[in-house]
Amino acid sequence: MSYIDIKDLSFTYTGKRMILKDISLSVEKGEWIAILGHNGSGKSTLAKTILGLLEPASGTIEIDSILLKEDTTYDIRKKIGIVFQNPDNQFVGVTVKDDIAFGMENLCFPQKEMLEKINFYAEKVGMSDFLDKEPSQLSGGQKQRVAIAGILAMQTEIMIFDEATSMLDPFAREDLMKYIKELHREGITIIMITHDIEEALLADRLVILKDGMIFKNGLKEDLLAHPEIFENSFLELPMALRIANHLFAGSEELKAVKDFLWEYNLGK
Amino acid sequence: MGIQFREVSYRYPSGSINFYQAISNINLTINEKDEFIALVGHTGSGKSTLAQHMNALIFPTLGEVEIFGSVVSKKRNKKIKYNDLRKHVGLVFQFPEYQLFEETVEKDIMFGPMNFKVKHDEAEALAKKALFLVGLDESYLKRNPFNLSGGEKKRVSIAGILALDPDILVLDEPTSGLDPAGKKQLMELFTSIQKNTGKTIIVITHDMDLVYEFASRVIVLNSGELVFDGTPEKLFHRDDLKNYSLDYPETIQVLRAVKTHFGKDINIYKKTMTEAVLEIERAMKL
Repeated sequence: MSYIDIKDLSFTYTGKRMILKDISLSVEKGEWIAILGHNGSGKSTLAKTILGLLEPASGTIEIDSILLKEDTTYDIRKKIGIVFQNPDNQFVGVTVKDDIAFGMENLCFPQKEMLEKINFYAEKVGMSDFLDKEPSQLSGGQKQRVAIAGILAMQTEIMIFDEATSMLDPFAREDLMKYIKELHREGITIIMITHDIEEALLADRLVILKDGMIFKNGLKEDLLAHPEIFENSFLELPMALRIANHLFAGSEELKAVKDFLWEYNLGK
Repeated sequence: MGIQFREVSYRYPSGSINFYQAISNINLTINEKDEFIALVGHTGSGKSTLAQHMNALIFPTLGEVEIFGSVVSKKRNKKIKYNDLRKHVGLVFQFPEYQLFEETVEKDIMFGPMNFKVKHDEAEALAKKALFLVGLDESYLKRNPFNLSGGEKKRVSIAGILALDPDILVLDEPTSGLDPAGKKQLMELFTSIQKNTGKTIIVITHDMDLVYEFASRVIVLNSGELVFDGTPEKLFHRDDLKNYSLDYPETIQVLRAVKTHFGKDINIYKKTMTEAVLEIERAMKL
């Protein structure tokens, strides 16, 4: 039995077109997986069904041996923190501080601990100077950082990042990635939903969705050896690997460049 | 005509006196025709604030913005018809697809023109034309916008602004949330709208690869100040982009690494993967 166990999961909005088709997926405790796929491949729908926000047409979801049903939804949600793509979808507080506190309040954190955590996580995401501001005065990227701080503060066992970096500049993004690495070291289970392969390559395992089905599921090293897998699922490899794959290896020098580009990509 | 910023500063109204200045002392001219401008800068650098000045959604705290001949400053001028002025500059917000609300694509696109008191028949014609400009055919008109894919919704919402026939189109992070293919398609769409209509297009983005490949001019904001205004070529030849929290395009980064490692004479300023491949093959043969 895995920590997260999804069996034969299907989902449809209309009863006609299936958004998810027979998804079976296991995730071990402390694992870091990336779910990749083009727009409309079903990535976010999968995240929402795991949280019990959408009800599957068939199939089961079990987390930490709890079967997801109407009366267990709350127990399961306590274990999962999710950061959505658009921070406006998760703003509730009057001030940044209230907003970071919201998730913790729902989990009944003691007041003192909550205040410490607000300061700690605001610092982590570089928003300490904004605690008393109204979220509406923040830029898109700043809002995203606040949303992330609020979820991190809940210290859930599982963290889902659903295209969470789409509104961040490259440096804010790098900071977040550093922090996710820390969470991973602490044993948090991480599910990253993205179509950015560079981001996905930080994970141990890649799950590629295509048209609502699992197209590939494997260790990143194994999948990267077959660049056509990515091309066939409308994903773009990092520039270094794309150049490497297209270089004509007609000479020793060019072979050396290819090898160098692979090394370069791994080192990034 | 076009838009001129003269020593424009903006500070968000707030209880705290220390609240940061969103933009400060901006001087800038946007031509009304034939520009494809990328507006870049780190999170919170003032990009969206600057954009909202372009159609008087917010008023400068200091300085003035001249928008197609009307001068907008802190004090509201009763002689200016702000709604008329907003017809000149169409603003597409972040995640515009969340703002769709009508039951058909056609009604949604017509909503803007109808609001500006355009007659029903005329609005219908404008909707058709706008839909065509964003690369969708007439079969979409009667469809429910909520059943469209993310990329299609984005297109419909952009068509809603194009139907107002603005002279300048400003898009705030239009490519965020799209996959790489979707991003490219959208930028190609803007290029073709720009070429076909001559309208100036301003795109706010964090994606330097797109800036390098598509923009004709880049404006860089850093902590509210304008720190660069010029061609992408000139920007990426600078060696201090880190100070502005900007990355170099991926092609440049990779080619620079190859050049340093192999000590070959490689021209690192290539915009696409194919150009980069050919350049490496050329240089390694020497």
